[in-house]
Amino acid sequence: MFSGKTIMVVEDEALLALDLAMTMEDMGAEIAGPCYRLAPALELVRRRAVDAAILDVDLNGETVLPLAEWLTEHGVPFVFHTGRADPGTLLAAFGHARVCTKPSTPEHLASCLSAAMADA
Amino acid sequence: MASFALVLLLAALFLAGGLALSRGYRAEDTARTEVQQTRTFLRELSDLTLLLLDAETSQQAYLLTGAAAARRAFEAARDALPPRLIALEGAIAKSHAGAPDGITTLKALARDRMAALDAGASAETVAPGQADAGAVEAGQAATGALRREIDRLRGAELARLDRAFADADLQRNRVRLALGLIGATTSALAVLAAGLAFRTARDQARLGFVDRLAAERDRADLVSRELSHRVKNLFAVILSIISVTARAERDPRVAAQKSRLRIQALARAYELSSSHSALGTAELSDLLQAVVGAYAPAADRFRRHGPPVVLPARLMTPIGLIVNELATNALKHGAWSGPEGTLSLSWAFGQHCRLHLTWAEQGALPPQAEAPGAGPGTDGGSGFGSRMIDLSLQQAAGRMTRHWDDTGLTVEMSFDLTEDEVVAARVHGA
Repeated sequence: MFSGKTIMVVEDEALLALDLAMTMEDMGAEIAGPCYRLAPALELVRRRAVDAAILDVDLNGETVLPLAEWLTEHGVPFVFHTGRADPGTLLAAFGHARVCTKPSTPEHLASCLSAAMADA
Repeated sequence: MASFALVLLLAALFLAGGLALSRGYRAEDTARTEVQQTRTFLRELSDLTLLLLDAETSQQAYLLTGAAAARRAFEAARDALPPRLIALEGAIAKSHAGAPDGITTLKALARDRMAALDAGASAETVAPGQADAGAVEAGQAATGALRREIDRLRGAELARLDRAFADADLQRNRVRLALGLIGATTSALAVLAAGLAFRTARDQARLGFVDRLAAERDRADLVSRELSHRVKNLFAVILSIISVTARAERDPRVAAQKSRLRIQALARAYELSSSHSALGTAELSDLLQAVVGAYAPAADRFRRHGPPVVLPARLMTPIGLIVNELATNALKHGAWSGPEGTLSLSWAFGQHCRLHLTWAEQGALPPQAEAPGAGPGTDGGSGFGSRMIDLSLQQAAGRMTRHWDDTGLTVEMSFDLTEDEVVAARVHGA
């Protein structure tokens, strides 16, 4: 599904990140990350080209939105992966972005992500 | 609105009351002056009457007796008439602001009467007892006219006095009415003001209550949202545990067993953190006891030593998962796999807000070749447990070194905390 694509995983929960990374790898993707904090994630996308990204919104109290803005500016598709109950505010700020609510399966997330990539 | 109308009404009433009061004073003054003037005028009138009576009496006495004394008395009365008339005119001029017609008539009548009396007294031809009957009749008629005129003037004067009193009474009643209305309006205003003050106080109290209620509700909403977030996250973590464990284990039963152990460790950590006063945090010592102590073959084979430290919420899951992996390895291949080995955990704060945690196994069986996931090769190895430990370390921004010697495995871990987290860790732990 993602063969030859580089997918970035930004997730502050190690197990979730591992699960996501493994699922994406199974689907043929190469993983950038996982990143647990905003600063390393921003550094990574500047260094390395990515085709799409999965973003946890709350990174230990830090918000991922600056990275989402960067990705939007550079035309990189992404999905938000969040446990917060108010995706409305996210959608308002990033009208094109897709939101996957936790808990969700990696398979669901993957289909969301491929839809986002098809949009772009 | 009602109070504004009442205030307007009160102002109007004060104006009317003041006006009525001043008019009442003026009316009373007028009445008092009127009384004095009337008294003076009436005395003058009565003096004039007496003077004419005097003149008539003494003239008749003279005509009857021819006595010189009577003649002198008459002449004295006659001479007193002009000044008396002037005084009368003066008195009436004061009260009427100018002499009315009546006074001229009266004066003329008085002068005529006196002149007639004088003429009668001077007619020496008339013998006593033989007075001219016509003259007597004319005299009586003149006296009657004079008396009527005096009565008329007196009546008019008294009527003026009555009017003045009536006017004063009227004004006084008006003042009384105005004062009564002012009193009633003031009372109504006072009642209204008291009601308004009461209502304002009640509204403020109600408002304060509503504010407190809203604040409480907001706080409850916040806690509820936070809890919901945590629960969702927890489910996500549990799903991941199952998914990654199943991926690493070929045997479904082993996968189920490992998943259960990991979820149980998570549940114990979560139970601790939800009972701590600061939601999501827990004492490090308690966390280690809950996660690692659960695997200990005997209570005396597990030791903990370190100062009280409250772990920040972000370190709960990674440290819990790391020590859970280490503990399952110890049970399978390490100190707890044999009959006597012990595990010691110790921790302390080092420099730069760094928390050091030492995992020391003693008396382990020597490593065996068929335990690839736990032996010395584990460091940077490809086993799934190792990968989870590495990821958890990355998540916690921690470091780890492992070495294996004759006594067993020793793992040195360190985690960087922020200054705020250190303060919270020590304050809560103290």
